[in-house]
Amino acid sequence: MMQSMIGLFAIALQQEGTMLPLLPYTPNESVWRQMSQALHVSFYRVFSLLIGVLPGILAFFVALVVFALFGKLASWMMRAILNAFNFDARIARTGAPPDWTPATSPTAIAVRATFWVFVFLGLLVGVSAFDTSYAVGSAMTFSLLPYVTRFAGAVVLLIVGTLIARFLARSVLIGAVNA
Amino acid sequence: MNTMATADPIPELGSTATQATTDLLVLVAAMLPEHFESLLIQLSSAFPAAGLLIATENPAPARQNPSLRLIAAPATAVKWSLPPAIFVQAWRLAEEHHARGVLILGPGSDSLGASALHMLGNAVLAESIDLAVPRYLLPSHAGMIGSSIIYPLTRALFAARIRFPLATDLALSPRMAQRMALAAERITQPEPSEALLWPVNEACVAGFAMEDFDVGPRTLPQPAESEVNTILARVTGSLFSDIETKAAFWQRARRAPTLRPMPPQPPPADGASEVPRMVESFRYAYSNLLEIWSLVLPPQSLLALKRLSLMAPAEFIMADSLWARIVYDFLIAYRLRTINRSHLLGAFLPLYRGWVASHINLTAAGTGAEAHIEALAAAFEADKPYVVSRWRWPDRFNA
Repeated sequence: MMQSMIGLFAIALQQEGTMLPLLPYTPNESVWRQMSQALHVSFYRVFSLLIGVLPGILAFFVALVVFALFGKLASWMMRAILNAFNFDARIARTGAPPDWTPATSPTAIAVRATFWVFVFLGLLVGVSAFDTSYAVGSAMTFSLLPYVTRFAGAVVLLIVGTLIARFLARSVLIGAVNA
Repeated sequence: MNTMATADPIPELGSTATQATTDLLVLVAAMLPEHFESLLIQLSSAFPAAGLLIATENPAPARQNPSLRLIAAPATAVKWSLPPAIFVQAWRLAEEHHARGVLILGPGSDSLGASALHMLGNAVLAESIDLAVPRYLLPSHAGMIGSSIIYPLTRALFAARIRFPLATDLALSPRMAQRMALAAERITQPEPSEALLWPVNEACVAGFAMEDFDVGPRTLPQPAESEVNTILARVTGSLFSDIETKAAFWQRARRAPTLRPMPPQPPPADGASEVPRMVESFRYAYSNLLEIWSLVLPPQSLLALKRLSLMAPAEFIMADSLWARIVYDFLIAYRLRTINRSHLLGAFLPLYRGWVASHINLTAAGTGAEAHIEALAAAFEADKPYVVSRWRWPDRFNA
């Protein structure tokens, strides 16, 4: 049994992207033999799929790491440029509304935003690479990318909505107490 | 041809000889015509008319001392505080007319006597004082925001024993007027007409001489009842911002101001009927805002507030040390932006009401109002090391 599974794995590695045809039904075969054949087929399919998407997974992580490094470099350059232009002092002179001024300096916000933009781009590139390899490696024709982007958008909406709701709830509470 | 030989390089001395000298420039805010007329009479008796120049947006009264010089000044929205625009105006007019001193009088200043006006003006003209601030004789329960927050904080942090740092009347030397005008021009947020300036703090940082003078009773312009909430938030927020910008100054140890004789005690006022409402408001806030207070106040203060919330209105007394810690903790939270600043100042209001109820109970029990305020200021001074250490090493214990 184990030797047959290893053999199937080796065949799957060599025959990437190919599908083993379904075995025809033979009425005189024993139940155990048919079950064994069905298991072999399913193992082959799963291994083929994993091997097919493995490059995509690696590409996802490589893209993420590379873009994160680019983001680190870009944020370092951004910090140097903004400090040279006295960005914080200029923003303070324009008079941002004090209630909305965050605790960190505008330069720090810009630097962090730059880094995370690059990380997000790396995420998109990585997901796209994973999506391509997944579509090639599996028999299914649907694409994973739209679901990932929609999921990311939903998470962003949830976070923003929670922050706004908390702010409004506190405003209403304090206003009601002081009324 | 030499045209240069015909030009007279020396300016015409005759023109300067005809310009009147101005010793004291008086800026008068908008007021009722009869009040303005009364004020002019007092100014005439307080200062020689020859050296006096009065700039005002009020129309000249029909009956006026002909020797008084009046000039028109742009309108400034002076209500219960002096807006930044008036300091800019004061400096520009003082510079234009070479005034040796500036006296700014807010609405209701006609209730000050001529001697009070003379005392303020003479301080900057003859006594080399850069900032002369009046010390009003107010009823026991008037000016509570100043008594509970502004005076104790200013005295503790800036070592300035000026009883009314946010006075509606001020006398300034030319250099003090210039400094205030520069501070006014730097303001961009909030809306400049709504901003507040802190002359006492500015004078401390600049190392200018200042003094306050007993001027007796004064009719203070009263804001509408509905504005009290917004006024507290505006005053407290502005003071906290000013303290934040001057942190490098007040964190250094300074010699405490010398003790002075206790100022005259105002006549006791009855406010006992307000105490149950304020205590109930405090209890209501305790049960609903505890989550927000716990982000700002340490456990000891919260425990003390819990004990307070269980007290009967007649026994409701807030310790001076507790109030000092509360104000300091809110100052720290304002700086750290622990929560949104509007929410922070909104959550501060019920605590202030609790202090007011406590103050009324204390004065009703026989403690002099000014004696209590002085004790409160001493508690703020004693706790200054606490705010300095938390400012330098914010522990964010409630995060």
